[in-house]
Amino acid sequence: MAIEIQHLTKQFGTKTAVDNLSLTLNDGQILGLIGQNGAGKTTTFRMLLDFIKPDNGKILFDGQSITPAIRQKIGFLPEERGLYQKWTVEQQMQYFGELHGMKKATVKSELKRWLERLEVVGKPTDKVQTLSKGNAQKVQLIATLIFEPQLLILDEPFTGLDPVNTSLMMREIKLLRDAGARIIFSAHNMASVEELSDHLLMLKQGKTVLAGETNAIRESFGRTRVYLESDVSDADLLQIDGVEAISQANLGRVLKLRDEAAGHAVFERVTTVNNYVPAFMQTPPSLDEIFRTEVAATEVEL
Amino acid sequence: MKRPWLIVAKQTYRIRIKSLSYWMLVLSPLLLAAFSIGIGIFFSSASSSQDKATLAIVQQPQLTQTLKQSKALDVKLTDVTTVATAKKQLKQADIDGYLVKNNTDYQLVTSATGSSTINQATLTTVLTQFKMAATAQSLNISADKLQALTAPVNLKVQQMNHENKTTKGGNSQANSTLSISIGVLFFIILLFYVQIIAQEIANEKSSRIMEILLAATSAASQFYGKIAGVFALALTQMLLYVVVGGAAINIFSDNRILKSAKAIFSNISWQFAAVTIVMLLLAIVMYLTLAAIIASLVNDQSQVQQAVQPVSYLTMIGYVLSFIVTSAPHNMIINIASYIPFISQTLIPSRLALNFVSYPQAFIAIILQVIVVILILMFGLKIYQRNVLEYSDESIYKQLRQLMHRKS
Repeated sequence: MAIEIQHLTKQFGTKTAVDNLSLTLNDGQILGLIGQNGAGKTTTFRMLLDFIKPDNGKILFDGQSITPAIRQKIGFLPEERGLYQKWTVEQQMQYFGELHGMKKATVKSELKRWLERLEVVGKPTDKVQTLSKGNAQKVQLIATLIFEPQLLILDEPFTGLDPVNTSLMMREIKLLRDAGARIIFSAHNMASVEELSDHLLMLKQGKTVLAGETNAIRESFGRTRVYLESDVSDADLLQIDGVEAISQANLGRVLKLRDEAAGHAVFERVTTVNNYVPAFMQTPPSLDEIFRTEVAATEVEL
Repeated sequence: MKRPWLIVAKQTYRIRIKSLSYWMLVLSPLLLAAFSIGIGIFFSSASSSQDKATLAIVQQPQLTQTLKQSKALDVKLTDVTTVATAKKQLKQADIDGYLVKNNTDYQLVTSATGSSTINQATLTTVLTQFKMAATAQSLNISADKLQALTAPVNLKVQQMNHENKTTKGGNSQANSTLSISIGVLFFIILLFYVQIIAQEIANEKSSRIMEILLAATSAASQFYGKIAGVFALALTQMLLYVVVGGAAINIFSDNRILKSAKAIFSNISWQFAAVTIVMLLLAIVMYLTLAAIIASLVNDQSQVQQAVQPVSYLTMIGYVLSFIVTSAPHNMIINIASYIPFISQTLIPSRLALNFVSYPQAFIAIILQVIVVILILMFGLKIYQRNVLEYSDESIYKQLRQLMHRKS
């Protein structure tokens, strides 16, 4: 189920929430959707899920518009989570499972498997309101994944998760990708985007700022960062032509370069006969940096 | 693939039907009825098991014989020869009272502390008959002639209804009882299910489950499925009452309350039953849809009660008017209100029961109901669709006003 979004536009009154958005997502790909609040992420999701109709453009699932059968294969985790507090875990799963076309017996056996896999403390007959927050989050994840969705839409999936659940979520998303599902998720935390997404879309006030493969986007900014572990002092490094700034990072420092070529000069300066260099890594800026730069760029424009 | 709305309807039904709170509400009116009938049975059996009162008759063996023969007076009778003996027996509580004749008058003396009572009205009647018979004998009037003289006039009462069929007099009392009970029962059922559907939708919206549900199905499936599920619950409750009521009437056929209930139901024609049931069902759909629309505007559960209040008021209009029907059946307002959907469901059946409207008029009211049901289901979906994922800070009625403006 390849997803094609073509020239998608949605306006609310005079405000353009999503402006001429186009992208394609193929089997086994993960798309990270980034942007500040109000950038149009939720509106994009809502159009994908057919909650609202676009004013312009279309969304195709394997070349066709959404149908009830396609809908059944979409898993959605909304930003604000919700379960029926007074129902048992099994009751919820049976309902969600049935809505997604699962058989009762299948739900029952799958639920058992999932509860064990995610190490949920609790029984299928427990009411959700009796579960701890962490376990309720796991149950919510199971509810989204139990029917093996072919398209997974996750709105801020890592917000509010504890570290254990964050890594569980990462693991399950990757497993689903390996099984060939397409995944779209939004996130504030760039680290998760960097780790998970092979494709990236950045929206700013509805407009597409960045789109494409995550690595290509990063490379397009040039390898203007050097991670360095060395005894050479900050002052000496700053004297090298092209080194603009230095900041502490982990065991070493990150040097911000004017251009890629400056990396050579730094390498030559630190790798003298007497100096041992345990780490020298020239990379593009991190997604976090790119995100900040892009956000700042518009603020200047404004 | 199963129809999604059916899954939603089934789930709504299944979860509620399994909940204790649902059964408490459904069964409480039944328990109340069973309780009041039970008390009635208890008291009637308690009083019948009590000893009969003993009445002593002073120096009137012939009267004693007549009283024993007539059996109208439910007492034990004894003969005593003197007033003094009777007084003594009364003091010892061997008897509950004595009857003594002074010239032409009779005097009944009873114990002030005795628990058994002697029916004075019956006693007076029996004594009058006794005296009449005695006088007739002295005047040489035969028993036949006496009966002819004292036979009461036979007055037959008939009423003509709209079908030009006569009904037995006295049914209008039964029918108005029926019309009021329709109003009461309907009021209770509506209030109950308006609350249920509003809670269901507001819960899903406020807990944000709605987004998950809408991703898997569609707004239409959710909206219609919810209405269908709650409607099925209402139907279950009504069927349950009919079954339990029918069983009670047959099992405790001696009970006074149930006897009168049986008398009422035996007078219902199938047309009347059909009109009433169709109108009630259509009205339930109407009210559920209205409640669903309002609940879709609510942001969190605490607002539900307040939000559906106006719907409750609307049900109350029909309820109150159905009481007025019996006292002012041809009132202009009631006449008009009988055709207004949301109100007509209680007015038409009550007026039909009392023969104040005819069947063609009832059918007009039903057609108007059908039109409104279709319209409210269609427009309701649009409002629901637009609002069920919007969390507005505006008050519900401001939101409704804005919706109206946008539509026009």
